[in-house]
Amino acid sequence: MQEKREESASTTKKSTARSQGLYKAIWRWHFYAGLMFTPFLLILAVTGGMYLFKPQIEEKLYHDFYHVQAQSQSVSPSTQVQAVKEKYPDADVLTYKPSERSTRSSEVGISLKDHTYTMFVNPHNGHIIGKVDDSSRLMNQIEEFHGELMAGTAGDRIVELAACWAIVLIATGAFLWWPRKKDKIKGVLIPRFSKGKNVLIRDLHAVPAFWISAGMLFLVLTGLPWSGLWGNAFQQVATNAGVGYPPSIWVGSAPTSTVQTKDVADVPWGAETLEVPSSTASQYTKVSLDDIVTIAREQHMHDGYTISIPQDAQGVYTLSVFSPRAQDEATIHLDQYTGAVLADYRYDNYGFMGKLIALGITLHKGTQFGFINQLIGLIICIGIAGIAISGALLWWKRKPAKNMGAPKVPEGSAMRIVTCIIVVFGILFPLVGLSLVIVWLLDFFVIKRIPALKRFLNA
Amino acid sequence: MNKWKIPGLVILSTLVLSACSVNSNADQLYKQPKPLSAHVMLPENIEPQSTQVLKVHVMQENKTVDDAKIVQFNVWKKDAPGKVETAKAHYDGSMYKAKASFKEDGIYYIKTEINARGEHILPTQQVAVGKLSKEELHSLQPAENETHHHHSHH
Repeated sequence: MQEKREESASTTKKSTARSQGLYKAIWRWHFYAGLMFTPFLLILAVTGGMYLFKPQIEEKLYHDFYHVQAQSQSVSPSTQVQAVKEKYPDADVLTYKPSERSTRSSEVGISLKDHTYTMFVNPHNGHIIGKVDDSSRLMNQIEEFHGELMAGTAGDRIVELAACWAIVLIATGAFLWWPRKKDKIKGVLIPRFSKGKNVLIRDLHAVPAFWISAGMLFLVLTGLPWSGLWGNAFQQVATNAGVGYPPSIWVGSAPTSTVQTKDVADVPWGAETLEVPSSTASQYTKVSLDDIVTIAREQHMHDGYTISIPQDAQGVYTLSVFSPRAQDEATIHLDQYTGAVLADYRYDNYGFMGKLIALGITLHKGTQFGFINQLIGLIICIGIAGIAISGALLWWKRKPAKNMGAPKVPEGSAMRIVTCIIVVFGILFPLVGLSLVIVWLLDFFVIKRIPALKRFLNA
Repeated sequence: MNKWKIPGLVILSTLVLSACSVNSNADQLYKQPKPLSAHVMLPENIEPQSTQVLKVHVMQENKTVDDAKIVQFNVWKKDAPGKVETAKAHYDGSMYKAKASFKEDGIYYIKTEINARGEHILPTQQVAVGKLSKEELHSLQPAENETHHHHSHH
């Protein structure tokens, strides 16, 4: 009896040591990942929180350009575009966005000397109301900051890396937060205010993090499909498998117009042979923008759609709308010479993964359910910022003077188990894997060989 | 370091594999379009002051369409875009036909408007009637030049 009790005591001790090792190992990963990616998560939360309110902010910023006096008469779309062409003869006209109601201006997108501009036109008289350089639009800049830190491809990769590591942070954080005693609410679901400063700081990080983590995970997972490396590969795999977006919406190319050249060859177009053509000169011409608008109406495009104008002989007219609600999305490609529908993709035509991604995007952007959606997004953004700040504070307050204050590498197998899990994660998300390889190389060739650094990092 | 070789390789190969692209026939896994196509047959020569028979063969999925709701030819002279003459076409057992008159020398547009089976196409052609002036011949050229201009962008 006595022996048995001793035996069980020793196994309890062993398993406690093991679970403490595991705790330390996970803490160590959480610690370093948090330290590395706190600044980026903070940037994402702040820019994301602002971008959520894009519709309201742009309405304020461009109020004078958006609104026109309602009138019963209107001029044709091609006349509106012509007005822009007359003012900017060197510009290429790229897009036309019809006015969606009688008090709204229409928009003509042009490119001029490597810049793109949006021209706002009064659809009732064809007058140009205003011109905005697209790259200078505040919301475009915030989007660029949010998506790629204003640093192009490199920035895009960093954001993707931060998003992937955010998942690691959520998972490891949940483990650290997980209540070890039963029936404990304080310090788990509500912070402990009377247990001293150190406990309070810990609780002010861990408790809100628990409340916010589901929303944060949702934002990360819905944001990842638009990332440049993982997102692109994911979209390609989904599209190729028939479960994602149909081609041309995110990845893949649009169909092409059939160029009818047969009859053109009969005509002596050369400048030196300016004689009367011997046979009828017949040549297929581009369908007019006015007819394209008619077709768009017949095809029941949702309000707020944009027409992309073909820029070369094989190009197509593309009608597209990415409406607030994912269910109203549509992308239609029209042959530029006949107006024939070459592809018509609505939300219902997406594969199940495509539908999930599309819904994820509208929820992520806060447009799917209007204001309440924006509000929930904002709360999550504030939460993420709060967690990032309180996490950094938590580290700073506890940090010893001489080193980083990282938890020590535990003895035994605990570290290896955690490492294995992270490696699997690194395979699922190649950028995480790549960053791990870099860290290990750094660790092996630099940190392990410099004792001071090793001590500082507690490696 | 040795124990990281395998995960390292796996990660690298995943990176390489992810650089694939969308299959060119991936669109066949999604909704298929059923576009109408039209073969518009215009007379070899159109003289001014003449009435011509315009013909169009309408197809969908390589089969002749004979139940179109609307088939009509809209004809206008390039310098008078407001004066459009519409000729309704009728099915004669193989294709749709209509008569249209061309009064003067010059460049005309013929827009063949077809509504059938919920689809709507409107191929538009430019034709020369009789003798063209030098200006008119020149005006036909920028369209050509424009395509060249755009190609230089790519």
